[in-house]
Amino acid sequence: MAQFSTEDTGGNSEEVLASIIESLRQDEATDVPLLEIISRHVITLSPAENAIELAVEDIESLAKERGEQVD
Amino acid sequence: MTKPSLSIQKIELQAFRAYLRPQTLTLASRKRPLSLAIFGQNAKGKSSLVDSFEYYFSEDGTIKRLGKRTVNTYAGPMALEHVDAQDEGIEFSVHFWFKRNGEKVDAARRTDSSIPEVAKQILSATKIPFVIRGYELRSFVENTTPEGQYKDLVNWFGLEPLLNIQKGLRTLKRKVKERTESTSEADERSRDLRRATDEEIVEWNDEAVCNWLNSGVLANLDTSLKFAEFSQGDPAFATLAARSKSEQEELGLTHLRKIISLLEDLAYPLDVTTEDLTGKIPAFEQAVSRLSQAVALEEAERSRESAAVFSQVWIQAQKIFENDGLLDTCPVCDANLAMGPHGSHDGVRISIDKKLSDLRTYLKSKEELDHSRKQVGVELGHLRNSIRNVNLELVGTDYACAELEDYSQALARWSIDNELPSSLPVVDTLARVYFSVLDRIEQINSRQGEHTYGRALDTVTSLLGIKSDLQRIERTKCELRLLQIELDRQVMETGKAVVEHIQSLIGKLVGDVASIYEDIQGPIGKSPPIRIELPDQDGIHQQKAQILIDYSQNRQGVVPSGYLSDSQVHTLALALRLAAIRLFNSEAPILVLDDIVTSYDADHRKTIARALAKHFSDFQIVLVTHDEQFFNLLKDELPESGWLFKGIVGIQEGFGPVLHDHLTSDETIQAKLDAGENAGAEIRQAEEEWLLRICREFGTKLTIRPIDKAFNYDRAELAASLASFLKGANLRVPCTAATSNSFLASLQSGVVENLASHFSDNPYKSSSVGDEKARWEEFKSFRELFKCPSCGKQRFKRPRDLVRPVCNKCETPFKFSQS
Repeated sequence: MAQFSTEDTGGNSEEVLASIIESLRQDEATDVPLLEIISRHVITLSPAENAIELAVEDIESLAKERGEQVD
Repeated sequence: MTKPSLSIQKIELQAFRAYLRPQTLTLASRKRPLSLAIFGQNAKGKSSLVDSFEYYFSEDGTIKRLGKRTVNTYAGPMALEHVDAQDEGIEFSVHFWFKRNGEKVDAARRTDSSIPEVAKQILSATKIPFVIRGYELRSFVENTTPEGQYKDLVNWFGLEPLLNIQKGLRTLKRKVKERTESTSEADERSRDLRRATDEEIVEWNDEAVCNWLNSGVLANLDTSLKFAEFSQGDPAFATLAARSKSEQEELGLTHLRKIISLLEDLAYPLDVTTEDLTGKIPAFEQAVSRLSQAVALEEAERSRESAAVFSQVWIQAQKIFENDGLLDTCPVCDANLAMGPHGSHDGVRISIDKKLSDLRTYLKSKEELDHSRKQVGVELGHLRNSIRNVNLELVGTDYACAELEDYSQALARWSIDNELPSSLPVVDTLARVYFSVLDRIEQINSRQGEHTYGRALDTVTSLLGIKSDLQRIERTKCELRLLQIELDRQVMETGKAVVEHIQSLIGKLVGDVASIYEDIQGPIGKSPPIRIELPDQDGIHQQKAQILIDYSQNRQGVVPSGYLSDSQVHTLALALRLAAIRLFNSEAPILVLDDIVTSYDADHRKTIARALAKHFSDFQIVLVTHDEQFFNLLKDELPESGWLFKGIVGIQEGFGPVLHDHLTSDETIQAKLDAGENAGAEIRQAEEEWLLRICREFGTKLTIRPIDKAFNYDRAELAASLASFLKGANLRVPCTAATSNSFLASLQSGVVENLASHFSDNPYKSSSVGDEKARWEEFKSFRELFKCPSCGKQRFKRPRDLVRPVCNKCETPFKFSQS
């Protein structure tokens, strides 16, 4: 994983999250569509009430979409 | 680049916690921000001021100890509002005035209002919470579990959102794992498989399915027809499909099935009376219904259109109205606008706007009408085409029906102004035809028996569908398993990054923490190296943290509470919080302290006051304490020019906390005397305050007090101490002109007067304003004697080895100028 840096984030959670997501995105091993799902629903300071359900649905849809592609 | 500046100029509270009537605290003097220290006994409303900060800057409109506001709790403004606010008709309000980068900005937060924009902006500049409560530090001392310490750290460094995210990610992992392990969809398809193979095959297996199909289904039709592998590409599938087709044609089934399909296209289902019909007939009737509604709406709106000509007039007149300022007369008809129904130029404008708005509504209804008309035409065309196709299939058969043709003719003649031809008779006829055709198909099928190519093809197609579904489900599961593994990795990396973030924050603070810790604990209180131990890689998801110290060479990495005293652990917690605020909140230098010295003795209270002066001189501090000794030490240690000291003398019913300036100013006394009011109490207070200060600075001796009032020196005691010191130091107070004040005389002689005789020989008699004026002038003259003979400054100090005090500024030994 690309090195996560807190150099410029101070204690600001929003900046910390942005930095975490960005460093994961820079990592070649990262499944970016999955990262986008969890950063949209869960790794956010204002998650929806049903954020986990939405994230699970999106992850299942992603798996299904990838499963269909083999057909 | 200049550093951004921010300060609080004023706070006004009303109907908030202990504050009922509006009270304003001004925190600026001559453009300089002031810090504020408030002393008050318990339950006198001092913490209400701290609460006001927490509420004002809270996203949820509450304070932490009340919890989040929900339907079932009264957290939030309802709990924060003064209990008498509604009866007294006083609106709940917390109002802050700020100065930011030279600009003044203010906003009030009232009941149910969201966080003010300015508070939001300040919060975004404050990276961590800036309110420190003594009880939080206390809980840190007592809270020694790793989970508890982790929570404290998370709260102090404003990391609660990160904690919630970690929780969310853990839940997500669990849910995705549950879905990955779920077999419900595959189980459902396996049930279909068992049904399709008459319970012969329980689990999918290509070879078993081929065997069952070849021997159990196809062998009844043609023993040479066999699937070598179960797929649509197998030659047996093509043969089976071709034979099924010719079988259908031979039996007339193809034609019958086409009729069924065409009838269903007109209306479906035809077997029950339902309002949920689909097909061309209901689609057309719904379009007609929408058209009728659009016609009615357009008619209603059209009546307003009578004023349409008015629109043209307005367009012409508008320029005049807009450009020529206020008009007295109508530019079209010269009527006096004031005499007209709208009364003025503005009244006419409002009326015109309303009429134009009505016209816009009409235009919308007209568009809807045009669209509905067009849609009816489209649906009618589709319906008539479908009827034509059905007729073509039915003509010359036993199923031909005249009603369908009649209906088609009626539709051709129909127009929007006429009644719509009823579809009920034709739908009844179509249902009759539909069921007759179904019966016929059934008869043919039963004559053919169980074993037909058509049924064999249906079975093969169904099994192929099940196979395809099971393969898709397995592939999806496989992808989901891969995603689960990747999710675990991303969650682990995120957790690691959060922990690293906390570790990094602590790392940045270590130097400052040590410095503040040592300043508070004194020279013998060298800060032990501190480190935070967080879970290792395997336990990264655990929300635990252990604060450890290297106490000595042979006590490395030990828990602070095992080796440090309560006050040292308290200092550690306080130093962590203060260092973090100073480091991370430099763009919003505000610090609020609520009773932070409960664990300390007198020496440490003094060092805390000094540490604040040393480390937070560029912060605006609001501090409340119930500890009078600490309050007095603050006055000694903190610069008067930058601080306001106030005491809460009590809570007045129907008002709230009564605050007074702890140092009674000359101006306050003079103003009262000038207004002809008694100022005896204030004069005594000013004398006591001066006495206390001069005794401190001169280092006079005082008798050790009883423990119950250890720091409440009374006036006579201070005066006696000063008199004794002056005598001992051979500093004779010169006589001041026109002094006939027994108190001052007693200081001169070294014998202290009777306290009750300040203003009169009779302690029960009120002094006159005249007496007080004279007394005040005498005191000021006397006070003037205590100034540096060299620079004239009035602050002194007396190092231990000196007998006489020296000037605090130029260090000239003190002596009375007239002695």
